[in-house]
Amino acid sequence: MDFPDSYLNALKGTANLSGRRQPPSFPPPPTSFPLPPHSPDISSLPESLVSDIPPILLKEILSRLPIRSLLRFQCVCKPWLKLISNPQFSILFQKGKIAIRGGKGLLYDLHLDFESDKVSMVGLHYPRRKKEIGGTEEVEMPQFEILGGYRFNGDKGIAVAACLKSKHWTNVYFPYKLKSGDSGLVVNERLHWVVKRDGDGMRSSTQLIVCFDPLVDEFVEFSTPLPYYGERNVILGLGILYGCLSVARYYYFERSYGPDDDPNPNIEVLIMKEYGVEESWTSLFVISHFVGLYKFYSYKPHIYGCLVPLGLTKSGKSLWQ
Amino acid sequence: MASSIENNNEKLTLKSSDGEEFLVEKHVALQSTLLQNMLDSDCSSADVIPLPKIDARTLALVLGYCKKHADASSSKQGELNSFDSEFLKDMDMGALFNLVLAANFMEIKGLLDIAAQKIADTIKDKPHQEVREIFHVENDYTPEEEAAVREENRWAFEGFP
Repeated sequence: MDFPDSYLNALKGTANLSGRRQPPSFPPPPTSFPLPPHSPDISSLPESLVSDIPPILLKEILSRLPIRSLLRFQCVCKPWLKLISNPQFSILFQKGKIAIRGGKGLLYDLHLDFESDKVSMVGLHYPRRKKEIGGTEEVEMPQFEILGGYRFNGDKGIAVAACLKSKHWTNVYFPYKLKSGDSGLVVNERLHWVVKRDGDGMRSSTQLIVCFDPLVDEFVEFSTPLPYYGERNVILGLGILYGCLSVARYYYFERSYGPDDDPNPNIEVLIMKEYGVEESWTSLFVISHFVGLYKFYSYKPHIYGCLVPLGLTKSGKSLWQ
Repeated sequence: MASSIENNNEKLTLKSSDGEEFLVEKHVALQSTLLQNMLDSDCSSADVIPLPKIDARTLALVLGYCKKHADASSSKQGELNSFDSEFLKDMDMGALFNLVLAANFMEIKGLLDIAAQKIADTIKDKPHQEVREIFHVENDYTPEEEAAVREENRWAFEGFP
């Protein structure tokens, strides 16, 4: 009979692979070979078969593992390290990206395919070592396995939550306005953004901090630190200081004509001492007469402003971005 | 293709690596892209198709999977899902590896997916030393090299030997 080429190729393919992969130092054991009693799973495995797992099937299996397991399994052997750390293994990306933060000192990039509108894969970045920057230690990211991100899709925002444990991606409608397509700040295994309500107009100054909990795919709102004495404030950026969610805010007094006319802008940095407790916002310091920002942001810090507290030096000096 | 219309209940004969022959209904065989391609290229049903990489035990399992999926209507996804998890439930690693290889060879995507996922689920919380044994992989690291790779990803090893 005539077999089609696909069948013959399939036969040939596996035959070649197994021939090449047969390790010379591993002769098949005799059938009566006594198997280690402590490992029942393994004892049921015919040795010749396991060493026959072709690389493509190994990939098939490994690509279903959570990141944490993958990082550990790099220690299995050098070929596994090579496979797992190969960017091709984890990434199908060229079109777009969102930065995703996670893991202890890990930074992931979430890559998007804008044409198919699908989240495709996770880029794997290896742990960043702590660096000494001018006597300041780089802020370490919190450890967690649930990651998320955000991007604009036309007028609507979509938050993308990724559970790296299951490699399962979900798109979640992002019901707020965000001033920039930032990927969210990770604190306490959740993502945080400074937003305005979807229904509010462009000039509205009501800001919220929303937190997205990827475990339940839900948004929780935090109020921003309350203004003093009725002055209004603008949240410029979120950061992590002392392991707490922190904000940099710009504030000015109602009696002036607004931020455009304020000759004395003040910048204050606060931390939320107890996560999720709005009463625990605590002021760290204030920078008054912050004229640099005033000029830089074309006098409209409430629209363009972005100031992120990055870290504090040991002597209490701050590092900005 | 004329023959497939005429002989709806036509059967195929598959032969495992250890010489056992299996009669398979055509609509069951169609679950396999490999067999489907063979049918499309007019292989006669009288022929025996050898599957030299698949032993009888594995082939029986594969055909059980194919039969269930061929017979169930597409509206019964939930039923199929519970069949799938029951199907793999008590399977040992050797059988799972065999299934992955067979599913790959016969091009049965659904089966490849669930078997590979099952293996991944089984090994994900195991220490890498044990995974080495399961996959019969030789450790080609020096102790220093292994320690260096480990140090690079220290957080992932918390709670592991």
